Amino acid sequence: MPTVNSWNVSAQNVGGSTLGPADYTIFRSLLETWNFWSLVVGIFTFVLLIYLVIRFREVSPDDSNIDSIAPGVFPKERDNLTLELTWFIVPTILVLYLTFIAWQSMITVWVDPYSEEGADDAFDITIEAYQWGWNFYYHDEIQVLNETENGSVNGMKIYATPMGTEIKDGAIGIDNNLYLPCNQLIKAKIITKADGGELPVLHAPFFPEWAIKEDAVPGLETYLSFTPRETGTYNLFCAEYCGQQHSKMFAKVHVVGQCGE
Amino acid sequence: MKRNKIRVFSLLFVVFIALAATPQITSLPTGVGTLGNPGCSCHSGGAGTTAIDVFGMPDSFTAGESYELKISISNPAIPGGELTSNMGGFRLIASAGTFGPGENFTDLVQVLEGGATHTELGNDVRDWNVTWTAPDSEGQIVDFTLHGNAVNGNAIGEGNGNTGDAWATYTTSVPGAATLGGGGALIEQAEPYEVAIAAILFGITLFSIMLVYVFYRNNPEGFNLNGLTSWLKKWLTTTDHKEVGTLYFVYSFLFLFIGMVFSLLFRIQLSVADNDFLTQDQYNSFFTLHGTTMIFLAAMPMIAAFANWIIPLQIGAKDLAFPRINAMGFWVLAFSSILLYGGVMAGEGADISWTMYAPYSSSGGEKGASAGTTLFVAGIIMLGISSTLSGVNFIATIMAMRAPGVTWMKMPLFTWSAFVANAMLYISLPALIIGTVYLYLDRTIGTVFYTAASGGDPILWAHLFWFFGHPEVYVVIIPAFGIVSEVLATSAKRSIFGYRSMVYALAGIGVLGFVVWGHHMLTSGMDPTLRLIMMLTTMLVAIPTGVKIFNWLATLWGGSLVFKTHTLWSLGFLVTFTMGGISGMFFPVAGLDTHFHDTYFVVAHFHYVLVGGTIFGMFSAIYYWYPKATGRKLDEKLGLLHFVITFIGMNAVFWPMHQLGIEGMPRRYHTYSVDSWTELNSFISLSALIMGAAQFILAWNLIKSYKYGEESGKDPWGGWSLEWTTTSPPPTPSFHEIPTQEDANIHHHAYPESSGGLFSKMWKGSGSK
Repeated sequence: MPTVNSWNVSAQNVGGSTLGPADYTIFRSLLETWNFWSLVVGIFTFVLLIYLVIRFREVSPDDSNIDSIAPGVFPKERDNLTLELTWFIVPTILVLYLTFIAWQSMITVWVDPYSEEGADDAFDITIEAYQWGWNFYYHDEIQVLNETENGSVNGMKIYATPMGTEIKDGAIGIDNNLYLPCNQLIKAKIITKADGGELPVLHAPFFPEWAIKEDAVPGLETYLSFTPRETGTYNLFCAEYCGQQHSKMFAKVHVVGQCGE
Repeated sequence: MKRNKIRVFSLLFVVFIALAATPQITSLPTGVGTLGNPGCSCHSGGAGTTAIDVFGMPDSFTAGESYELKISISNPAIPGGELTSNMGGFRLIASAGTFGPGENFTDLVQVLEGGATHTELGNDVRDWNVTWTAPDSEGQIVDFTLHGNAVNGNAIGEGNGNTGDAWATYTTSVPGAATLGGGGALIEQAEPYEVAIAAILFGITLFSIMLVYVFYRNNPEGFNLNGLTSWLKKWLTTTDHKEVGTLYFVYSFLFLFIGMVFSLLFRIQLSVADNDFLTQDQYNSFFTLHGTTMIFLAAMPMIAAFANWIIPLQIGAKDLAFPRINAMGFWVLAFSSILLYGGVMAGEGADISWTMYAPYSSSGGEKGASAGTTLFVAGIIMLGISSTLSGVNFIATIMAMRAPGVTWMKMPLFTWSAFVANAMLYISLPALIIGTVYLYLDRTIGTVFYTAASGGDPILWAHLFWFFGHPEVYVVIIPAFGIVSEVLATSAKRSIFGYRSMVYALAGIGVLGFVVWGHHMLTSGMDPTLRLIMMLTTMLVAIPTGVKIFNWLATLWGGSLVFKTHTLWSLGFLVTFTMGGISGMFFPVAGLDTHFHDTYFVVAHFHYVLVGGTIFGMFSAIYYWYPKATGRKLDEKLGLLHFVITFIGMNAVFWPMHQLGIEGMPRRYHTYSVDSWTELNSFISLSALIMGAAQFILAWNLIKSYKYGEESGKDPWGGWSLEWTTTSPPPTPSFHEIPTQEDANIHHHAYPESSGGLFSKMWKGSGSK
């Protein structure tokens, strides 16, 4: 029974009827588009390369030298303006098209979480990174259904972690476990902390299953906003190199509560 | 004479003995989670601060005697209820001898598959007694490995009862009494640090042997120490562009080897999950040195080697413009490597990665960068000086010393690419030097350029570094473009297609390269407006690059392609560089970069560009110009073998990293706990070892062909540029008489006595007074 989940990105959290900011589906659809065009460009280039290499290989050693190549003589120039313009213009169109698609995702990914419509409903947290671990501060509460002993539901209650901490305004998670409500917009403020008199350094909370990360920068507040769509336990890594125990700086993210319809 | 010969050989003999005594690798990759045996293998949290104590280990054992060992596991940091916290599980294995439960511990300790572990009844116990009975033979050393778990024992987590578990491994060895005869010292287990240093020394030794061998081959009659010193003195003081070029080449080859050793060491570390072959500090300083070595001490010097050798020959100049500055550039580089490696040799290697991100790199103390970082940063400043010195030389030479007929638009493309690369280096280097000087001051006299709390700015470093760093990657790839242009045209027996658009594309990349640095910083908290701009400009770089690739393809059209080894490397370049270029298009996209940034996808991409691009281009250049430098061709069969193994190996190593990146494996991780990543990582590590071994074929080919290669003559491949008009190897000075480059496009050759443009006139004007 390995305690660290082996997880499969493609199988998790791809659902959701409406796209939240930085929803995993944005990454997925962009990746599919980019994979498609990579294959188109790659296959075209390599098929052409293989054709040319086979078709125009040396047949006999005394092939005629059509471009008057001799040492010390600049050979006959050859070009074809139409062709060169073609492979200037066609990639340009492709690149501009791809930039246009990417541009839209950009607006969605880094929307200012505090100017957004319905911002009051968002679940606010602060992620504090230090060498080498995470502290989580909660500014809202997670409500879950209160199941009574006989199995019936009796209103709502505040979610309490297995350690007994209630996730509500003012709660602090210091044991590398982050609790998030399902199907609610999360607004995470990311800050750094110096640990034991040392300088604070760069970190980056990275949620690999949701394909998002943002650096934690000393002297700067950065933000991430996203909407978890499925309950479960996910990973949180540090992606910005931060010294000796960089690779040990991980936490578990628990999405709890009801995901609704 | 004869006595001197004996002296040289006895010197070599001593060196070989020293090599034989270097430490051996005997580290054992283990972790609790990978044991597969009952016992504490059911818990496998991360390696952590768990403390393990064993009491009663003898200093040496006597055959057949039993020893009572007491084991204790604790970790106050593990969360959990008070009654059940800090429970420990253990598994003790030894390379010889047998185990049994200790006194009064028959219900708590059991022996499973040769090792001791606890029973279910022992779940609530923290200290155990175990008996170990020594083997019958005293003439051996017994290695003990103890894996200890501290668990919270409170299975109420979210489907995961072992949250916060941590383990640690304790190893020790006990010698048999017979091995201690006469109080002899024990052979200790090798540290990877020692392995790395031994490998470096091994490289330097091989290199010295090669020097002696080359000296011997040059003149077997005059093989003695006096001759050796005067010969070495000639090399240490040379200013001839060809000889400095050779120095650069040999130097870069040495560091290519050292950089490779580092990469293989940390590939062994990464081959399985939760490995502990390297410590975290070792891993961190090894990947730092791998990156810096490969970029600054291997790729750039190799480019400088070819630029030194070939540019004056291609443009018909007798030497470079400033020969003494050229030699100085090389020797500054050589000494900077001593600074860069000073830390590692002292066991305090810089651990700041090649990007040297502040404020981690500017901080010291227990959790800051290691002490060797200061030396490392000083080394980087010296590298900047070296690049500036060699760059000014190439720019001046190309601008002012072209022979009649070698106009800007009739210049060989390799010279063009070196010109663009050095111009880019020249514009971008000040940013790096300013940044590293700030960093050096922060580390030494306590300035606060990167300290946010005192008004400094951490992002400033990222901007300064990447304003240098992104042009820098073009600086190392653009000369490869030039080489591939030359090689493909020559091999297809045609002129390059679209010479002018090739030059404009080079210049276009040179200009665009300066406005794309922000795509390294899309997640850094940079202004969103800048992110939008950098996304667009980065995508635009694909256009001139695409023009170059299609021009290369069109060059093959209608040609008669011969498959020499250098052709294969250039064709290989086309494949791998195109793949690297395509994967580069994933990063400017914000929605993709939020995931890919700092994952193995990035590692895959830039290795496709730097190995599949720069290194393949340089290997192509080695096979292409080796006959010009030595008068002999490299062995084509060995070359083919080297190419096939390296090409397949390169793809086997770096292609799976794309998948790891998509699955979210972060880079610069000492180890990982996700078991599903093990399969790909093991495959990568194995392929890396094979690919690394294949590079010795090239080294052997270079040495062997120096003496036994087929004689090449002036123009073995049918190239057109001026270097093929002179003898192989060329005389010194490289042209006794300045040649004139003809032009097949003009039928009556009417060149004025002194052609050349404005710069050439300025040069001549100031020189003649």
